[in-house]
Amino acid sequence: MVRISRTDLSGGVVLTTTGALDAATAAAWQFSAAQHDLPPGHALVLDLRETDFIAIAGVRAVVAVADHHDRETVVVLAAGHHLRDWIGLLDPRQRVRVVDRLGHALVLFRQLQP
Amino acid sequence: MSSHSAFVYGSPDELVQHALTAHRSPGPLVLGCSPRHNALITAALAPGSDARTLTRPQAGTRPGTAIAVLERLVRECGPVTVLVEPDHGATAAGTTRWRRFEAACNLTLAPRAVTLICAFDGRSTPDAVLAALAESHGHHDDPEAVLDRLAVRAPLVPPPADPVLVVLGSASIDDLGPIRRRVSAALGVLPVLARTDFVAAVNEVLTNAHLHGRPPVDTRLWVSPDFVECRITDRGRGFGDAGAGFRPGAGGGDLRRAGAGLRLTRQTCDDLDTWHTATTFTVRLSSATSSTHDMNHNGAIARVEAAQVRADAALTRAEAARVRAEATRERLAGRIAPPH
Repeated sequence: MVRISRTDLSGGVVLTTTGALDAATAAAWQFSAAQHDLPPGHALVLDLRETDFIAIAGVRAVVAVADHHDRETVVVLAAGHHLRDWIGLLDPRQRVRVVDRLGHALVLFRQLQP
Repeated sequence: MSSHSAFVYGSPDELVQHALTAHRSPGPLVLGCSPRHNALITAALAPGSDARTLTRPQAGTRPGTAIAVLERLVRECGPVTVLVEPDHGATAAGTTRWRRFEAACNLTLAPRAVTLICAFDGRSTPDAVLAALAESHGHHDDPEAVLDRLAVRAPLVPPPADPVLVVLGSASIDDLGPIRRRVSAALGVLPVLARTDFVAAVNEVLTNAHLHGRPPVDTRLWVSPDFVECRITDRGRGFGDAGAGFRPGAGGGDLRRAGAGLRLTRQTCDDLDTWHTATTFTVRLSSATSSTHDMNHNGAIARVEAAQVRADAALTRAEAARVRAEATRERLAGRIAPPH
């Protein structure tokens, strides 16, 4: 089971994921995350620090969601997480940035605003 | 790759001299030798030299990770000269891993502008290692052929003890989470990093078995004080490619399209072996578990991260409250004229 909760902040929308993001759940998670409307000019923050487990299928889904929203996307992932490098390797458009604290994401997406 | 050579030295002075000569090549010099040798070479370089150090590649323990470290380095540095003393393992299995590492370097670093020099102490390096240098250094053999020679083809004898976990007949990808949790629970005695790494490896192989193999899928797990081993068997055709997981992407192509799962697997366990029988395909994963460093280090990281999560959750709530207050202020400002 994987769940998404949404928090609207000034300049960005944070989707916090709990549960496991693997080949069994990634498609449903991707569909759900893609359904969230983002106000114009808002960045997307995918907070994955509270997920139990992330597989390569999960990383692919993260990149697909960023691609779907066509937005600057910041992924918050624990420092030292073994999949941090993989997001960069699997993101064809290189629009997904990875930070390890939500505070860093907030600063980043304020900088991204026009 | 510009070149991949072996240098057998007779004394630390010889190693230092070789490093100084190598540093004349374009780009920075990156040192991945023993800490003592890194320090000796760094001290001998001219002040202000562009030299960096990295941890000695653990090629005899986890070749997939050792290669990933080099790849990342080359991506970040551009043209670079790398002088390493790869750990070639203290056992026959370790030496085989090291040989896979050297061959896989020729596969994965081939398109990169890197001069890779592997240094070995001629006074202490075992003959079996010295005898294998030619296959992957200088005018080396085809790396695919080397990896193929080192591949397991016939079923390996299982560990003597009974498996601690047996899950037979999995038929659906929905079993992935429950099996993963059972594997994780069975590995509960291991250091955190050893456990999470191995569970990640098992997960990717189980995923492949369900998505690309044929059910039923069987999982067997052995845990001992020294090692952990998992065998995942499905009824599909599998693959016979000994370079799988070492290459940048499936078939040497784009990792973004395929091949990432096996590549992650190579980086999160020590050995990945495969074999076929007439009706089954088995992937065997194994890792050594004796790493007290991981246990201490990761416990500290986990505690720091938990504190960060709590602090950031408070930050999120505060920011959300600020946005709501701002919206309320704007609504009120429409109704109530500001004071003069």
